[in-house]
Amino acid sequence: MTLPEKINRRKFGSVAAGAVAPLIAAVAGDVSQADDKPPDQAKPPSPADRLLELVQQRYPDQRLDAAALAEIREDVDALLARSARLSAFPLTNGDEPGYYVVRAYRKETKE
Amino acid sequence: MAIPAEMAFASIRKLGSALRDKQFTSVELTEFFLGRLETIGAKLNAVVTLTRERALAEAAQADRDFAAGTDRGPLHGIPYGAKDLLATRGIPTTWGAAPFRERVIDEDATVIARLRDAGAVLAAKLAMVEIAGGMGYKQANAAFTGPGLNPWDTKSWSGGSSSGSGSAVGAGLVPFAIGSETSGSIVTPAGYCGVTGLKPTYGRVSRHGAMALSWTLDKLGPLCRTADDCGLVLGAIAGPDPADDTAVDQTWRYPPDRAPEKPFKLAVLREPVRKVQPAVQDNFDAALKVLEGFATFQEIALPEFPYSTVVSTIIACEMAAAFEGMLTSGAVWELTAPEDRVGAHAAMLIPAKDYINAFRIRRLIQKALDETLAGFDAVVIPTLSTVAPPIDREFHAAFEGNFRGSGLGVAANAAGIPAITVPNGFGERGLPTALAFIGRAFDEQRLIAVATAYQTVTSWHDRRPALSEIE
Repeated sequence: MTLPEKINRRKFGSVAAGAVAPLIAAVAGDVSQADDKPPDQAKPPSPADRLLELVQQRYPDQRLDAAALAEIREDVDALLARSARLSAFPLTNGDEPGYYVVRAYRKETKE
Repeated sequence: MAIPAEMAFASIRKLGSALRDKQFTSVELTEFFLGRLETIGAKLNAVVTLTRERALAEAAQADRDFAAGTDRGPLHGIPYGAKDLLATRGIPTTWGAAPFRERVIDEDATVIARLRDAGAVLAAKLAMVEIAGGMGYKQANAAFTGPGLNPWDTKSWSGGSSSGSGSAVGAGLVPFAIGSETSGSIVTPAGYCGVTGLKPTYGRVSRHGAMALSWTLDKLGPLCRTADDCGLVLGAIAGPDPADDTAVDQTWRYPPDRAPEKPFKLAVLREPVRKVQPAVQDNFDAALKVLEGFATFQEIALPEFPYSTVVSTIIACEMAAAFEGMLTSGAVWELTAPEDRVGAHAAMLIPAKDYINAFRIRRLIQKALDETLAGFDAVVIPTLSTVAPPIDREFHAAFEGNFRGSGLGVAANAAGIPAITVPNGFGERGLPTALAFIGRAFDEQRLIAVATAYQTVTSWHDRRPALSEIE
């Protein structure tokens, strides 16, 4: 079926109103909240917000509206959760990747 | 000569016998199935392209071969359908995706070429979930051909991503079909549509000419009426291929010189599958009683690994590498399912260390599963926890977040080990339920032997959908 694992979907409205709003505000240059606080107390964007911004920078498209960004934000949350699970798995230095069998290549030629 | 209607659901062996007995010709048989694909197939959203011209030419060649005394084996003169991610010379290969609906990859995939050499007749390119589901679809309407409809209830899904392959075999539109599985895409539509599906060991069948969703997880395999038919088709398509480095350097012949013998040694999972529908559980329990007639059982525990995390990470990373161009070109916005238009973006940012760590864990999974399954012919599980969901609801909403099966299914894909699914009864809304046998790497012969033994003493695989609404 090939459905990438995701965190259960949340209601779009709450996502749009919550997670994406700070990003949209930042992208629009709305720094009024940050201006209210001294620079050293401003809360830095979360890793998820930074990644979402990176998506927009790398793959800009007018169709990336609030609803689309909310969907992508869910995926970003899921990938960060997966990343944490992978990092938490106990691996030793000797645990090599299973797939990569790299051999030196030399095209066979007729003598 | 008119083909008897029951031939729509005949096995490959039975059709082959009728061809050789001159009950009808391959051209007549092909016309028969082309007619069903054209009428019923269209109503099930199962067909992308009817390959009439090529089919009739191949069938005519088969008839000339038979007349000349040339017999190319059990698939000779038998029509089939191919999931539309397999390249076919002169015929569009769409990957189920609107941006590619006119695109022709002008060569035959190795699997298509091997079936042609075996005398099989390509009758149709079959519908599939766009990009084999790699963009994260969440509901049935995720292909430009529309949602795959289940022949047992057209208000229910056929399963995916080999949606047309499942429904076409289930509705008797082709005797067999080729599907692909990255994680669940053969066994799911086979299970939902009440047909037999074989997911071979990774590397058993060349992937050359097949759309790559995940180079390290994709497998090609048959969906058929019976396990025996699956063996016949796998016998034609398996084997080494210089065009695919991952194709193992082993030939594979069916039937084998020496078949695995009874009593079979089967394993069942100690931990029950969660959220199984009552009818699925009842049918599974009944199937175990049938299997007790020729098998012994032992409980095993599934080793603890983050299977889903590993598989999801690998699919996402390889999909991102394969399909980044759809984002940069904007083609992704032409996809059918709204969620697929934005389902690939986040995957573009997964760090390399996550991909590599997934492969490090994957290697441990392979070893642990092999040790767990050693000494058994197969482990038996319900293929899926539920019957097919309705087409008008998101999958998670339809079945409270669970529409799959045991974690062993995902684990098996992580490890690249084979599985076969067979129908074992009916559940909610009269939809099929299924039983899966999963074995050690390269143990397809054992799986087919166990599944064939089950089908010898049961008749679930002989049941036919009424199709009265759409015929």
